[in-house]
Amino acid sequence: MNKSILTVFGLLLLHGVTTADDDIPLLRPEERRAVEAQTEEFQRSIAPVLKEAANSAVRVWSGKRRLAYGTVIGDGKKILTKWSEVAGAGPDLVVEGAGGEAMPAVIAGVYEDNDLAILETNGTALTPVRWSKVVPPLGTFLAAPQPNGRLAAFGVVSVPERNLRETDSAFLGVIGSMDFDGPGVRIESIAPDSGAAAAGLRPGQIILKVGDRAISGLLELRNSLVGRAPGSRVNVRVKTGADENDVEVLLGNRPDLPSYPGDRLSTMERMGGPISKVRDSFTSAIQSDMRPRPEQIGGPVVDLKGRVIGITLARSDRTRSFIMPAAAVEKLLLTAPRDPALAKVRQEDEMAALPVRRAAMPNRVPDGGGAERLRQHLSEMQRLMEFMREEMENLEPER
Amino acid sequence: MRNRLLPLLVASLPCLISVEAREPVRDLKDIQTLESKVAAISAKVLPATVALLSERTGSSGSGVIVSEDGLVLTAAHVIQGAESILVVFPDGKQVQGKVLGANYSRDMAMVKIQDKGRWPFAKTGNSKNLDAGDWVVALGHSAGFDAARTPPVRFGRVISKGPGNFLTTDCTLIGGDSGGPLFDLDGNIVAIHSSIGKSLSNNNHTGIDGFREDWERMLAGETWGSLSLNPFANPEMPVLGIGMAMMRGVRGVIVESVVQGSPAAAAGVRTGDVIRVIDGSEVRDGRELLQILAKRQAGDEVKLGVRRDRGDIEMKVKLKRRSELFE
Repeated sequence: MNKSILTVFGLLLLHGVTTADDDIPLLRPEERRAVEAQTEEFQRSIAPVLKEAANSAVRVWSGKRRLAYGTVIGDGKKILTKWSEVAGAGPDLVVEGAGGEAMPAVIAGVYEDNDLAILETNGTALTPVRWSKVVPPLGTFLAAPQPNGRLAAFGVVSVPERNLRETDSAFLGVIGSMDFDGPGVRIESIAPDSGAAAAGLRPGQIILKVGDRAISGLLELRNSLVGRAPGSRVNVRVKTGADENDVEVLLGNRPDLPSYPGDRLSTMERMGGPISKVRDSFTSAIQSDMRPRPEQIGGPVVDLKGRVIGITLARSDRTRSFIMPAAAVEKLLLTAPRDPALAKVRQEDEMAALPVRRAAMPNRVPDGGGAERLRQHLSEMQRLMEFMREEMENLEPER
Repeated sequence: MRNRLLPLLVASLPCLISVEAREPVRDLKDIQTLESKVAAISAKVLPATVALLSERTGSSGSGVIVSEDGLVLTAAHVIQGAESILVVFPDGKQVQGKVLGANYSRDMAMVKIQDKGRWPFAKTGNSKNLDAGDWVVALGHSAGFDAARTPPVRFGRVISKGPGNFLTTDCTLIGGDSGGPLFDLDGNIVAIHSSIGKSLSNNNHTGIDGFREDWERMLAGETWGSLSLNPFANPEMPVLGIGMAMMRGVRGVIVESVVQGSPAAAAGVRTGDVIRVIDGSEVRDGRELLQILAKRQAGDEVKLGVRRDRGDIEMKVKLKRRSELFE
């Protein structure tokens, strides 16, 4: 009816997803009340941990347009924020602190790789953030404050810190055969100029081990390289006919190959609201299920002790947001940013640049004229109310 | 803002208490307790959360191992069209799985790992007793298996029950999560991921109790039912067996006809009766009646408050599957 099943297909399927009704068809009033009361209770209970970090959170405006959040750093006159959101702003860039004070700001530097910018204000100094060295493990609760101390977004550590940039991962240079059942991976072909080519690996050989790890198939081969650095060496156990021997391979960098999520997955990614323009390939990111809106990205993220463990980098899709850990931010800030006049905004995928395709019409069987129309109106009103409620929840004062 | 929300809070006090009875978040300490449970569960169940890849159909879903010898629970639409399936562990280790049975109406299926071994597994819990506000943890290989990361953990709560064996949470899911496990705070599997709607709070899972009821048939390799995203067309939808009419000015559902041999007929429901109450909740129209029924299951008994000849009577009706009546 109005749902979408969740398998991913390798093929592009152009049908099968309808995103018509966004209400929950069986939600009873008592269920809605229970959940809403719980949300309110949760927000009230978590508020104390947001307090200190909220003092270092700011809102970045371009005129009357909300662009992003920012985090106060250094002497209190520098703000770290999301580059792709502020890049297009004119001379009317304004930073609004926790106390509501508005200060004109200029873009002073850019870190293109992680889509971050440094703004400078000439007003009074704000409270710089205190970074925490804590590395939050899987399942840790995380919260992002609004500058006014309310909760902007809540989530858990879905996946601990990792590097999302494909080209930073180790590359062997082996293309495995799809029709080989294993154990091991039969080499189909070798990427030219790769470590495998230099080490003399050839098609037809079977890879049995990488380091100490036995390889069951293609996916395990890929996984065995996770955590290994490009430029390091690894022993690969290779079977040629009946002979087995170890070959040392110098790992290279994974080539930059564009990947497309497919139409179906791409539709699902956007189910549930707007997402960030630049939302992938960060060099250091914790994955969380928190749901900040794109204009709430760039602010601090705390754990349940109120420690600032990082900043939000992007709302990536329906299920994911990325957070840059504090240690990685501090390290980045020791390097020289790029001149904003020379910096570019990353164009991530053409899909994102395209307008979201209109959802297919609901394939509902018309049944009974007036009653059905009334039902439809009701469901539309419910949706509108849901939307208004969400807006109210995230309500931020207009300037 | 606060002021406007306050009346809502007061109005819902009775519900608040029932939620608190389960897992309260009255203060920061409660939230910290919640966190320690979620963190412990995540680490514990992660190794048993597998990806299921079908080379034949090119599809990629998830599953969860429930026994040491490698029985995997998943969603029926994940194994659709496949006889064997690649089972991939979070660390990339891959083994062959044989597709056993499936109940498509409940979007449930079983797969058995063929390789011998002692596999990591999670325990199963109960789904029928879940209610709006119960905290849950979801895992699954979102967007397909990714060697560079473990299956992402998501935290949320039950938003709504039904239809039938299904339930809805606000643990956000996406393609590839299908067949992945939903856990309660004891780390027991309570449901398997099935579908999503547009809203972030519309993530649907098929309850573990349905698996338990159909366990032997699926284990024996039987496949039945039909996949339906419309709950009211689902063959497992519980029904009374009446035709409904509505009239302006009449509160309730007018019984226009009674299906022969139906639960309604057995309970003595007659044409012309007006159903006004079901299990204590007032029923204003047919839509509400269907909504309430969709939260029950075949075999459940419901209490109807019926208006007949200016008198009110009460009847008990044992619900049947739609397919038992109309096939």
